[in-house]
Amino acid sequence: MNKNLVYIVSISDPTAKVDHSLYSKYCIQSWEYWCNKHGIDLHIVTTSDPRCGKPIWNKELVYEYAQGYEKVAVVDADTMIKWNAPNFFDLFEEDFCMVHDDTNWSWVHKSIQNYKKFFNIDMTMDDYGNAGVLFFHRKYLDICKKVFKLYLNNKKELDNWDKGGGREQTIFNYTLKENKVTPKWLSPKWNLISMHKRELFKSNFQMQDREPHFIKYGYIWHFTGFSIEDRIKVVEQTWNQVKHNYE
Amino acid sequence: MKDIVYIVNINQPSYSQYCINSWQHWSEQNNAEVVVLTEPFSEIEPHWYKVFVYKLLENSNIDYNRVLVVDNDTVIHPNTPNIFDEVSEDKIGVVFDDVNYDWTIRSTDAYYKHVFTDYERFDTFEYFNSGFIVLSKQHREVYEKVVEFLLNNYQSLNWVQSNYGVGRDQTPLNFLLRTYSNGLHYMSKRYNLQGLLSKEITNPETLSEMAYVYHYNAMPREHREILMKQTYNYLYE
Repeated sequence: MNKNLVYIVSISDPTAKVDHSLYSKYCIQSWEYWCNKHGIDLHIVTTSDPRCGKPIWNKELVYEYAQGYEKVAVVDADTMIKWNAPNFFDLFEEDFCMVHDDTNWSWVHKSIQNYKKFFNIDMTMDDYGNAGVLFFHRKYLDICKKVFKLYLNNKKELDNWDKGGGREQTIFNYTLKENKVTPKWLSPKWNLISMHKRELFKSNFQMQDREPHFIKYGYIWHFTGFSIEDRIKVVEQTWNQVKHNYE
Repeated sequence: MKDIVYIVNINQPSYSQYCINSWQHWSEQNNAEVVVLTEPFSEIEPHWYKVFVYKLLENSNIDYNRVLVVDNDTVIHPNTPNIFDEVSEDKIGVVFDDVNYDWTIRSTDAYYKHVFTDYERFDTFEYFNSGFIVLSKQHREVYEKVVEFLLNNYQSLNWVQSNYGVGRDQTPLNFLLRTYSNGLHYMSKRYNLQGLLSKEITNPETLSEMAYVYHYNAMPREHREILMKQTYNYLYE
């Protein structure tokens, strides 16, 4: 057992329209290489816990699995880490680290409003992060436990949630704030979301540089914000372009 | 002595009325004064007039304390807290520019290659928007150096824009201010919310709940006019 852990939920949902493993298999290969390089344990959750309705709630169960580890990363299965990204566990001590999620302000606004019913606090964009890449000290495992408890207490409503605004992310953000956790905000390079909207799939043609910006400047590429079909294509294309670096 | 909100408004596009009116309203509440530059004063491209802020204030015998340089395509919420309280006087207050990294990367690469070869190529994700910059008297010398650099390198700077189309003042300011100053203070994006179309937030009510200063850049001019008017009317009419 190493002292730090990367935890990924990658569960194939038989009821889903598309098999998520079609892209996650590439993402996981990148994490396997990187964790092995840095002496970090990697745990992939492939079977949903019977307590969970939607597979995404298995993320919170990291609080059970990660007991004994010093620092933990919970990352989504649609993220790929650059082969030579530095060891992010060296970036913090007893902090909770995340990246702001601010590429679609209306979505966040709606989500904050929709989930406010579970909390008695206000939240602004300055407080709001993306839950797809989280690095934290073990003392914050308790936050995951609290989120899971809230889920279990409202399971029927949350499993049938049709108001929009995502599933666990906003609840997670509210729980952080409710527990007076001020995240250490990291550079977007540690969680590049909505890369298409910010033109990060392009490269600097004027300098005859063919390397896409997201590969050149980012450390963790998060393939979100577009259709699942496009995600499969983009992840596969990306992997074919970079896989030689992981051998 | 008042704080100054400095707006360059050459050609006075019709949308700028919403900008200036909103800033005047906010300034009245915050012991500040709006100073608008409307006349060209040299052969230098008006995009660069923002860096002459100290010279122009002093030539006009306007006393100043803190200074906010802001673009004429912004609208401020009337209840915005005092912006000058957010930044200590030794730092320059800026906001990240996170709308179109392809443009900012190409711009940075081009200016770095052809003009700023001896400067540090700063982190791509620390590029700031020059449409909202909080200054103090302490930065007068910094801006003197910027003006000096501009005058000494004007042809090279123009050459980059002519050949790459990657903007005029913003990227050079990204190189110069972080080099000459005592450090940048990155403010909340709520103080300079850019790329409203890309970030899918144009509804005035939503804007008013989410941010303080709305920057109508990165959109066609006709959209800018409509959206600024809509927001201004919601907030002030």
